[in-house]
Amino acid sequence: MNILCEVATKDIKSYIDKGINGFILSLEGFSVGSSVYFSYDEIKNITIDYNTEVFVSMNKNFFNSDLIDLEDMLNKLNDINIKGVIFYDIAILKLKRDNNYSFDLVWGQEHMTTNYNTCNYYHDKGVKYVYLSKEITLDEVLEINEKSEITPFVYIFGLSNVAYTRRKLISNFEDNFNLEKTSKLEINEKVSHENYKLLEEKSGTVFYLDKVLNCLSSIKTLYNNSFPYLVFGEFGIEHELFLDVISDTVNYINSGLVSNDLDKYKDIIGEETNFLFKKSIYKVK
Amino acid sequence: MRKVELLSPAGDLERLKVTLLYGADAVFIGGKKYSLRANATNFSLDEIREGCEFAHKLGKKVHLTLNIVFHNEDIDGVYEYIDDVCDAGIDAFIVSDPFIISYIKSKHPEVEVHVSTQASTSNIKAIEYYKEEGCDRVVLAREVSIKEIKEISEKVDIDLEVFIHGAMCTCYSGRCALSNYVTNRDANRGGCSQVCRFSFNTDKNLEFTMATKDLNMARLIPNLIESGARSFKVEGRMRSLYYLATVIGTYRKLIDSYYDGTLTDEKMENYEKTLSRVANRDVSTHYYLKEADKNDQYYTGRVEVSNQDYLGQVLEYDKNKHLVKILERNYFEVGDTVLLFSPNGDEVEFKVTKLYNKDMVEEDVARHPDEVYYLYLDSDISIVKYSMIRKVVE
Repeated sequence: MNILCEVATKDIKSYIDKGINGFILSLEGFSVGSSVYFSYDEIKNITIDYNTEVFVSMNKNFFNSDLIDLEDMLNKLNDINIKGVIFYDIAILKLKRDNNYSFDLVWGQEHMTTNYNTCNYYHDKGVKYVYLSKEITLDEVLEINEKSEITPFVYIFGLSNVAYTRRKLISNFEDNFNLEKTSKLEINEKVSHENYKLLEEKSGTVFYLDKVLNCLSSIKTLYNNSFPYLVFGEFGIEHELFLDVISDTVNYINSGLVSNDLDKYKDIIGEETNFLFKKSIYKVK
Repeated sequence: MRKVELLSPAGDLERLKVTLLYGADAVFIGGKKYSLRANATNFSLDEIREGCEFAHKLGKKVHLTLNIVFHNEDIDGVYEYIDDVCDAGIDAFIVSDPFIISYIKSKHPEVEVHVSTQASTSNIKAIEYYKEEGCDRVVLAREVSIKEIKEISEKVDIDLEVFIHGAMCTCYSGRCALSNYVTNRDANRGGCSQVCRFSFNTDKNLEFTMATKDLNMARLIPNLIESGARSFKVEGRMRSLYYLATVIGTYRKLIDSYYDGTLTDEKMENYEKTLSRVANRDVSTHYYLKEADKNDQYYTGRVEVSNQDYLGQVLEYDKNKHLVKILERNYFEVGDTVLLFSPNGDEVEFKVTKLYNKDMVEEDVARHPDEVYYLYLDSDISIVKYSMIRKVVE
C-alpha cells in the first residue's frame, strides 16, 4: 500500500523523511485548485534529487489556444522521470495516443470516476491509474479495485474539492460590492451551516468543503483488500500536523497494522467521512 | 447549405408533440432511468416508442439522455435498456460516461452517440478523441466561444451541438458536486438541487451568491450558424408547454428567416421581445463573445420573476359562431389585447370584446384557471391542436 501526498509546501524532503511513497504535484499553468504549484524545472529537480514516485496533476479544462503549450509541456514531461500525469481533459489522453508518451496516465475526472466499467474503458485506452471520486462509498471503492484492471488511488485525508467554475466568482463579488481584492473567500451555506473555502485563480474558482476528511480508520479495510494507493491532502492543514498524520500512517502500515496511533486524530481533526459511508441520493421521493 | 438543427427539450409526451409541432427538428428526452433529470416526469419505453413514431412521421428525431455518471450499482441492466430503447426507435443517445459508447456503436450502429455537455468538451484534441471513438456529435462545453467553435468546426468533421437558450450552470458541467455536499443529492446522477442558486454568508457577514443569468442567443444566431455548429439546443426538460411553444416557435422563425434572407432588425427585435416575455431571469450570452464576467450573474438571493402572459390553451374554434374555446391559465378581461398563435405559424392579434364562461354566460373577466371560457373572434385563422393565447404587452 502506497502513500501519495498532495502537498501544500515545497519542502519535499520533509515529506520524504516521513516515509511516503510519492507526490501529486500540481503543474503551474496546467492545473487548478492547488495551494501550491510547481514549475516544470522544480518537478524535474524533484525527480532527479529524490527516489520517489511523482504524479503530475494537469487537471485544467483546456481550450484551443492552450493546446500548443499543452503538447509542448507533455513532450517535456516525457523527458523526465515522472510516474504519471493526472488528467481531467480528454485532450491529454488524445495527445498520449498520438505521441506515445512513456509516462502513464491517471484518469482524474474528479466527480466522474465512479464505476468499474468506465475504469476498464480507460484502462483499455492505455490509462494505468484512476484517482477515484471523493463522492463514492468505501464499498464502491473496493468493488472498483476488485472488478477493474486499473490501479486506483483513493483520497482518505484532507479537504475535499467540491466544484470548479471558469467564472471569477471572488473578483465578481468584490467588484460588485467594492470590496478589497483577495483571491480567497470563506462562505457558509445557510441551511447546512457548512463552510466552504473558495480559491480564485487565473483559470477560475475552486470550491473546497472546509472540513477535513478523516478516513484513517478505513485504512485497515483498504489494506486488507490490497488497495494500492492512498492519497493525503495537506491544503488547509498545519504542516507539522500533516507530517504527524502521514508519519503515523506510514508506521501503521509498515507495522502490518499493529502500531495504531491514528485514533487520536479523531479528537484533533474530527471524524468527517463525507460519502465513504453515506450514499448520495438522486431520485427525490 | 445544410440547415442547423433546432433541438428542444421535452419532459413528457405532450411536450414532445407540442415542441415538434412548433418547429423543433429534434427533441431530447429522458427515460425513466439513467437521465440527468431524475425528478422530471420522463418517458417510459412505450412513451419513447410513441414519441419516436410521432417524430419520425414528421421527419424529425428523438435523442435520449443517458448521461448520468454511472456508479457501480447503475451498471446492471444498462445494456438491456439501451437495446430496448433502440428497439423503440430512438435516433441518438446523449452520453457522458464513455463505457457505453462502444456498446452502442457495436450493437446499434444506426443509432448516433452524442457526447453530453457533462463531459465539458472544450477543445479540438478532445473532440478528435471522441470522433476516433466513433461518436457522431459532441455537445460543447458552455464555456466555449463562437470563435473557438469555428476553429473546431474547421478542423474536425463532426457535428457540434451548442446551447442557445435557457438556464446555465455556474460551474463546468460535471465538475460540480455542490449538490452532493450541501443536500446529499447526486448532481451527476440527476439529483442536482441547484445549490449554485442558493445564497451563502461570507465570513464578513455579507450575502454571497453565484447564480447565473440565463442564456439567450437570439441576436447571435447568425454568428452561431456561420461558426459551423450544427445543432442548437434549448435547455429545460421541465419547462411548460407554453414556454416550449413560444421559445421553439420563435427560434424556428428566426432560423428560417436567416436562411431565406428575410431576417431584419425589426424581426429580430420582435423575436427578442417575444422571448423576453417567457424569461424569468435576465439574460446574457455568457462565454460566446468573451469570458463570462461580473455582469453575467446575480448578487442577491433568488431572483426569478414570472408573468401571467399565458392566458390559455385553445381547444377549438367554431368559425360559424365566431367563438374560440380555451382552457384558461391566467386572469384576463374584456378589453385586453391578446395573440392567438398556432404550431403552423399562424397568428392573429385581437381585442377581447366578448367573453363567456363554460355555461355560455357572459362575463367581464376570466379568473378561474383550468376552466373553459369562450372568446369572440371573427377570423379566418386555421386553428390546429396546441394553439395558444397570450396577452399582448406593449
